[in-house]
Amino acid sequence: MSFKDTTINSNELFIIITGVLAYLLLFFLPKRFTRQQTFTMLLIGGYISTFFDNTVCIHPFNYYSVNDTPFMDFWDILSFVMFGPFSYFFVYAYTVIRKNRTTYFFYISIWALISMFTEALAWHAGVYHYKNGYQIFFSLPIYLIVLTLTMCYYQFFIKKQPRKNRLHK
Amino acid sequence: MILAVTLCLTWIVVNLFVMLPKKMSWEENLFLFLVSSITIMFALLIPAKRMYFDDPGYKYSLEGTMAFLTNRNIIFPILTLLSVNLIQYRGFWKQALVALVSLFVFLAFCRLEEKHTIVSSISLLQLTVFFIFYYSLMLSLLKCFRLLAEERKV
Repeated sequence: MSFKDTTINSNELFIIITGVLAYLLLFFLPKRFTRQQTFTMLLIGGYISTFFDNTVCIHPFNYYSVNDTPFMDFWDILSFVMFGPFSYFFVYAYTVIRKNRTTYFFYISIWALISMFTEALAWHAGVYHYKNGYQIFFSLPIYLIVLTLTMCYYQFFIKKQPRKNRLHK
Repeated sequence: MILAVTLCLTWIVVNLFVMLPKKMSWEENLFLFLVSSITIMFALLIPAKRMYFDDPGYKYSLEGTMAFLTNRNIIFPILTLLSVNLIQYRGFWKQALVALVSLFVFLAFCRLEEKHTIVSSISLLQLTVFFIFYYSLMLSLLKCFRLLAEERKV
């Protein structure tokens, strides 16, 4: 096991800046969901990040490592927390736009491309270190699946709720 | 072989959950599934560290890893959902029975499939202490989640 640099570098700055901006935006956006729904969406984002970082990174896959240390550290946990608001934004923006039968397909595709671009930024910042031939476009099917599952959450838990139960300001 | 057994167990546990009359709403079930999965993933970092941290001397088959992942991300969280749904029934003895049976199932599962659940060997006492903390945490978080809904109604 190799121990890498543990001082604050570009990867830690990336996590802090992205996390703070995301939570500030979440805080200042007009509320459209109940507290339970907001909290669940934050958890979905955190769960997806924790799940893939604890699955794709483990033996025998070992496709990437997160941040500077081979073991789980404070910055890894903070990166899971950082991902929370993105599920919220994904659902939030979908409730705002005008929709027809094909909107969800293009919406998920665009978000998957944005996610890949963000992952590329995170890789440049040193949050992810790819191993064993892993390349960034391998993440595309993962994003398509998790975004579709998040869309299922919207369809079954938010859209199906009676309108009076939702918050609108 | 181990993957086949684990998948059969998954089928049984998922169907038990489907058949169970739910005492919690779907939102609460989803919330509990997410927090229990995240807690289990973090809790396994220490006992399963050889699998997580790229130990070159550690050999583990793909089948074994798939069984481990199925146990970690499907069977354990759904067993938690089953247990927490059942403990919502009124009556001290019913609740005590559910807690005891849950503890027994948890210990038996960890011991019988040790290599694919907790990976390394852990004593019964430590497993019991972990279960008590884990179960209390799940019940407390569920209570907090319910409070979030109540605060809005006031």
